[in-house]
Amino acid sequence: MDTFNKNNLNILDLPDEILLIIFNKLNTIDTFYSLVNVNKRFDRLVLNSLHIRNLDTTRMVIKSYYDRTFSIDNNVLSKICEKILPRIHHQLNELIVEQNSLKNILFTVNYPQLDSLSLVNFQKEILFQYLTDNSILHNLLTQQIQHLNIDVSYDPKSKGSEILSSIFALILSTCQRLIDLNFCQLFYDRKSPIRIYKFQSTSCTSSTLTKLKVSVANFDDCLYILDGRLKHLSALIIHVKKISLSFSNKNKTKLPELKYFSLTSTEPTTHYDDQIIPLLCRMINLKELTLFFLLLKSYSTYIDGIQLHDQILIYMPQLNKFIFSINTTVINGGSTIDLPSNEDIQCSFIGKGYGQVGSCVHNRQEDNVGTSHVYSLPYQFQYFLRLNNSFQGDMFDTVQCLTMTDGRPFEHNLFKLISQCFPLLKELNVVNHQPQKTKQHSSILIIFPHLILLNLIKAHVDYAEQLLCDKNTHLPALLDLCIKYKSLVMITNNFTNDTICRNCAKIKKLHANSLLWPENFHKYFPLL
Amino acid sequence: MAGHKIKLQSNDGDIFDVEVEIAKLSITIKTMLEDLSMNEEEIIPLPNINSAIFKKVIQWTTHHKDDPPLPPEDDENREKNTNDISSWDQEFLKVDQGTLFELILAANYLDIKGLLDVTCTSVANMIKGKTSEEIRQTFNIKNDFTPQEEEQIKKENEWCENK
Repeated sequence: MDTFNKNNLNILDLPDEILLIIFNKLNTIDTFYSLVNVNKRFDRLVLNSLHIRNLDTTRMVIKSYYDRTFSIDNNVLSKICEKILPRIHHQLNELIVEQNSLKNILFTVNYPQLDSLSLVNFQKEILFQYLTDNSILHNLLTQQIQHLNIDVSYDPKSKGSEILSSIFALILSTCQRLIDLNFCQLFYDRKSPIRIYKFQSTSCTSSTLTKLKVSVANFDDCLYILDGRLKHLSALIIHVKKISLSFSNKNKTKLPELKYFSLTSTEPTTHYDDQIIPLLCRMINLKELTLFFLLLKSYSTYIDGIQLHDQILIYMPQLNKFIFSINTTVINGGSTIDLPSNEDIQCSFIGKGYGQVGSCVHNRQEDNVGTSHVYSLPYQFQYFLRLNNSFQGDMFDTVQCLTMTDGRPFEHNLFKLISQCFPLLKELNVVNHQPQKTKQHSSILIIFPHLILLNLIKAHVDYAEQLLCDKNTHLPALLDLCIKYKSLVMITNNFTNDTICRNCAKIKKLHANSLLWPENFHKYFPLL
Repeated sequence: MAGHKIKLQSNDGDIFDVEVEIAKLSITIKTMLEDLSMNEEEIIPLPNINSAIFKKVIQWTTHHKDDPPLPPEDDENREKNTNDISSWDQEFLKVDQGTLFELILAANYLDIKGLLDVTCTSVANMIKGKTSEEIRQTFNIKNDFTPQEEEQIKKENEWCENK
């Protein structure tokens, strides 16, 4: 395709507007590396166009789900530092930089207009050192930065790192002009929590911060942030790893400054009535509310539109936007509480200004247990948890992580529906110990084009066959597989057939409970 | 079942019978038919497109006639993916540079967003990873910096390297 043309039309015959469409399809660093110093016109288009107020010097490469690099090639970095930055540094407002290129980028030139900085994929210890040294970074943070995004190397098992918590406190005390802080929520799947509620009462204060996005370990950390130490905080987007019993007496004072609040948590909690509701009722001037959580209740009923209205929303007279996804699991044992049907749940949202609401209810009357999922539409979260056979469909094109769980088998048609309803899925977790009832099904191939991680550790072997066998499903992007070794043995007939070779060809991380692999293991997993 | 057809004329005089639904993938033609109340019997002239390129355009639109509308550009999405060209489109775009640039101009004139998108992505892929010298060679671009300007750039670099 790189051959010269027959009719003499050259790329320079394209008008500026089209050249800009082409250039905008490249990352900024690719644009700089390839197009600066080619000729005068390209220089003018690339360097003078108004959009160069920000510079992203990172490039995310996903090696596996939890192993990502953000560094750029040394040649590219050199060209940016030597040939690009001297020409644009004076006009840059925003800079995105990762650990390995920080020194080169920051020490090459100064940035008089810079007020927004993103530090991506830093090791916590190194970031701490940068912040405590009397470095250029420290000076920038102290004197210029108003918008700061922090992302650190991700540890999925972290329950609240001490050093990360110290970094958070240090940033708040260092950045004298900070208005907006995103602390480790730059990527939905790299939320590293901090644990700060035991810090001194004089820590973590700011008189300038108005917007904070942060992940914390406990509900007490959330209460700590909202106890008045951030005087002008008007927007808090907080992910709480576990909403557990709080011993704090801080959940009382009204929060008139707060206008936007988002609370998400992906672990089930039993503390809706005693923690979450009292907190929300303090937000008397709230204009926008986002809630995502999973509740576990006993001897009770599902959260519905009437409860949400009467317990929370009537205390927020200025609320004009409410986005939510609430799963409730109710275990009523021997009690005689009748759980509502899906129709009842839908009715509870009518006439209260909720807009369109989706719901999914499954009552197991034999043991008085039930699950309900209610959510505002269009769905706006990256997670969809606890999908079961009562799922009705709809479009969930924001969802990247899906967990399916049920005591009833998942059949082929449900997976087909899911592939259509969740077109951008990256992570799929299947929890189901029931064998499929119907193994004879249509020959239509199910495709999950973006799926990177498939977790079948808690799934019957039928789901390994359903999702891994090339004849059933196509997983062109799969990098991480979590599976029971015996399931692998069964679907490959003890590693003798080639049923899963295509789907496993790109896998770079295999989590299976075996230390001993068969001789022809690499035929199945050539990249391991 | 074949639908209604309209007649479209390229700038070298050839007339093409094209199904209305396929022709309407071009916002320009759709506007001519709907807003300007052009009769479906009339021959619609396309003064900026020759017959060879128009044949390619019809081939592309026929293949993509049932595609869903393109999603809006997502500013939040930092990862720009230039690898998303379907295998059919990759095969379709195995053409010389001149044809590719003519297709881009035609897609722009006819306002066919999908075709403009995929052709521009194809050129972006040709750019990606190449040095400025390789770009000049690939696209036959003359280095038009004067010696003084080259010297100025070098000085800037020295300033930067000495820091």
